[in-house]
Amino acid sequence: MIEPCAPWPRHALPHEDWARIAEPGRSLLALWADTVQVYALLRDATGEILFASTGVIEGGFPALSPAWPLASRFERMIRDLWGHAAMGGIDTRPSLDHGRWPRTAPMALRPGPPGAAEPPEFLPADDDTLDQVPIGPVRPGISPAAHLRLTVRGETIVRAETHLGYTHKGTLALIRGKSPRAAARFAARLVGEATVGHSIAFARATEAALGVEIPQRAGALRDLMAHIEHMAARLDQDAATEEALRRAANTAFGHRLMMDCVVPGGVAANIAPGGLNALRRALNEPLPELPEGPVSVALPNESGEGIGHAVGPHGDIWHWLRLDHGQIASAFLCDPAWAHWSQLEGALIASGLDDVAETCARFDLPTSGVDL
Amino acid sequence: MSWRPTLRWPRDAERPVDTETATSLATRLEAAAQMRLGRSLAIRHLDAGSCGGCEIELRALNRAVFDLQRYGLRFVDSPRHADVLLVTGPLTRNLTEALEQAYTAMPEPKFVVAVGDCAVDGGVFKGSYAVLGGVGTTLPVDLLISGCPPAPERILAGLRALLEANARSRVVSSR
Repeated sequence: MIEPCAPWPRHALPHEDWARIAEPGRSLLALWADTVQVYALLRDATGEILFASTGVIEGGFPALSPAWPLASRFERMIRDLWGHAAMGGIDTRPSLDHGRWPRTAPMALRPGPPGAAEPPEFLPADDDTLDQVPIGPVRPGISPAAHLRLTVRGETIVRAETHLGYTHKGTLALIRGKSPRAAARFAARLVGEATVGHSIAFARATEAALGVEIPQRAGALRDLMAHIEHMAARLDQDAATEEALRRAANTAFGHRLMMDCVVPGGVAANIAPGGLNALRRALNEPLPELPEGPVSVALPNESGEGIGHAVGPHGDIWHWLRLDHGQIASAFLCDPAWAHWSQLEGALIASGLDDVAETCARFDLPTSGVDL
Repeated sequence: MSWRPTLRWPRDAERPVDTETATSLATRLEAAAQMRLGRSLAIRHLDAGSCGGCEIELRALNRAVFDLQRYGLRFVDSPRHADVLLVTGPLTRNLTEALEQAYTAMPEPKFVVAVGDCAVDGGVFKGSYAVLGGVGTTLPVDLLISGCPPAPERILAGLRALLEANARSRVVSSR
């Protein structure tokens, strides 16, 4: 059955068809749930986007992780937040839920009683020649909170496991029941380094759900902000230019990181007079003139379902939401770091303990985006 | 193999130290250390659930333009080496234990600085089931620096004020 969702219609599948969506050639972009369904966003071998969902029956749904190991982290998150079990999943350990919340399955219709805080479970190192090295959650330097458990033989890493969830703030629960405009503040604070990217994806999902077109000038301003965010993230080695760019962004948009500057329906405010020239100087780039016109449109209090995509400094960002008379019934914000954390685990294998800091710095992964 | 000098230290160590010299040296060293080290603070950053926005500004502080080190402020890796615990984020329930452990590991005297609206009172995440809402819910906070995120100048001004207050209190206590 095909359900309306813009711009990609949703294929509501029975369990037996759902289990078959993990075809070779396809890749998983995001996997999430709400109280009654599980959703998957896929990319076909041809690059086409596919959107599928299946109902949760007796608290479970068929796991995709046997075919796509990447799905495992999502399935653990679904179990922790909504309590739906991925049947046949390759990993059933909790990830976000460390047993410290006042209730289990906090996003479920009927959340459970509080759990007991237990130390995280890692794969065992039974062999006498193996040792385990714990790093984090408080890691050296100015780093996001995450735990690395390295299984080593001598100095060589033979297995790396990441344990996340430390920075879980309950973002999805805070978004639920709010208007898109109010909820945009949470999208802007999912990943600080990609605040513009996430704000744009969230705004696009809202606009798709409501069938709203934003004015040309708003679109151009969003592109400009996204460009500045990309450039600032790439200026790691050049503190002076990055600082100049952040100050120019503050002059132009009133915020150094441009947080809350993109809102559903357009942008929050027009660019300040002289802002474009300040950005041109900081970027040393001839930025094009902006089209004239309004910078936002009013959003109708209607219902709908939509997906928004944006490219942030770390990669593709996908947001989905369903609106019920102008209020968010359910939403999911997918950061590219979901895939990158698994890649980090792979990249650490066979390297030495001395290389861990370097490898982690090169990946520079935010945790807030996957901890939600 | 007689070129090696004879090691005499075990016997020297047994000999009693002249108490008067030791006491006077210790007093002078203490005064000098307070003068010099009183104007320096070692900072351990702790992410208590931050989105990463505050960290962008903290990293900027640590780099060429602001160059935190010229004020005697520096980031250290271990809480055992730190005078200041600089906390960002709304303090998630999942990080409370880590925060308490880091604070306990720090030597006295120690300061806690909350950087950003989240660390001050939970910010936009206030009221969520997963956050406690501000560092002050768990630790005694000495300095609050609000902003989402606060600009580097603002964080720097706060830290320098702490530095001055610390230097003054040390001079007073040494008298």
